[in-house]
Amino acid sequence: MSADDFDVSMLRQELTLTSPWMNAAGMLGFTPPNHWAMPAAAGAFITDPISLAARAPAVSRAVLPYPGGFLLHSGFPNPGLRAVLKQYAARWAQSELPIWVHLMGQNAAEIEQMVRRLEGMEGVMAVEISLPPEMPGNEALNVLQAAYGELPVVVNVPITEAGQSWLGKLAKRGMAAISLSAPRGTVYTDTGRPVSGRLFGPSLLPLTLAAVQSARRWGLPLIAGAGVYSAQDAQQLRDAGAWAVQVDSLLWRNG
Amino acid sequence: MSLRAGRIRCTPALHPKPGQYLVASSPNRANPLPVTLFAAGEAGDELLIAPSLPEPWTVGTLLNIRGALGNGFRLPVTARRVALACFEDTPERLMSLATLALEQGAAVALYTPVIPAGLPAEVEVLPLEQAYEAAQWADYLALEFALPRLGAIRATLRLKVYEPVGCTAQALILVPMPCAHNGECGVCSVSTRAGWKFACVDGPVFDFNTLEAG
Repeated sequence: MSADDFDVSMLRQELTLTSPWMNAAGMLGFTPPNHWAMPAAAGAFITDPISLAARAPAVSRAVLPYPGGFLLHSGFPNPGLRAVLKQYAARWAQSELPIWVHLMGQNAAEIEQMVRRLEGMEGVMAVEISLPPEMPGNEALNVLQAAYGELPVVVNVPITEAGQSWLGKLAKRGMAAISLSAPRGTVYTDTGRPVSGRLFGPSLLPLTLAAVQSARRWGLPLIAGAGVYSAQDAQQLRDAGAWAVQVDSLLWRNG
Repeated sequence: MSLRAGRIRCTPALHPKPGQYLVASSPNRANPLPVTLFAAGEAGDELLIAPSLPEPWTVGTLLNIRGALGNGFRLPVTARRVALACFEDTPERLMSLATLALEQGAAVALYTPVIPAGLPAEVEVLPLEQAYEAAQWADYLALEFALPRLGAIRATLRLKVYEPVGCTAQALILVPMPCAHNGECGVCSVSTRAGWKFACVDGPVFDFNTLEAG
């Protein structure tokens, strides 16, 4: 059977939520906080992005405001999966909220190793997977196929990629949902140096609404998460077809 | 966007110690990032804020404030000669430490490019270029700078490679702290001899002699 014939859509792991609200990866660390500055109760907690090996911060890390939002470039520093589990697995097991572990993988082997490590862990109810920028669709599908197993897989893509045709193959491959998150962009520093990174801010909401409308055709539950700063924003996304919403930098502002 | 000094009225429980910080945000969604605030001192129940207030915040603006956060300066109670060195545009973030040092009877020298308003007369002001004298004179040295300047500051202090400052030396590292440890986002990462640290929770004040260029 070729990869294109691989159809496990009937075996798709179902996600369940008691509330459509959750944090976006990278906003609240590795374990649920005691206090959430969100307009409604959370239905799940998503960890910061985790790689197989430890990642150092980016050399040119920066926060650059622009009208309507800001750019964040951090390099996704994290201690690596083994260290994260050592420090947080016990707390995940005791969490009242379902834990969705956000994984970053460079290739299928890394993702498979990380997902298998998480299967069966108490408290871990899903994995959310983000892929390297510019990864070709075929390669992305291979990586995601490696993640398929006992845990529901949420495929995380920037809102600017919601129309990519390879997303149409995710349902057949047993993926549980698509999450649409902060897009990438470039902002110049005061000294004229261009910095690329993720964009956050209320100005993104119209793009997220358009992304939801575009991605509905892929036949998977959509989790929309960029530009959400109020309950009204979230309702608009739900009206547009989003199954759930992720809140990002609002959590930092309202701390 | 120009940043201004100002006053904030808030519960004394929020008042930061020297070197600690607050995060503040206004309800206006046009400002999606919280703002990091350092205190320059106190006036009754008001907090004097070092220049960091964005222009849209005007008199009467209601702020959501969180703090006090981070690890600040630890001025030894035995310190009698305290040197402060500001390598940034304003030394006001060091003023509450100057006040504390004066209160415990220490002589205070401030190496700065700018003389802040309201500086106590007991504080001796010296040009920044002479900061190398501080390490010989002081028994406690507090510095304030942005991390990319670490090499230049070591040169100003006339330190050789790996040579430590000869007295207790702490540095307030000025670096964006957008998540204030909510997200461990890593933008404020500081390289130290003990590995990467987050300025938002491990600092923003660090032992100067442990800092590395990173």
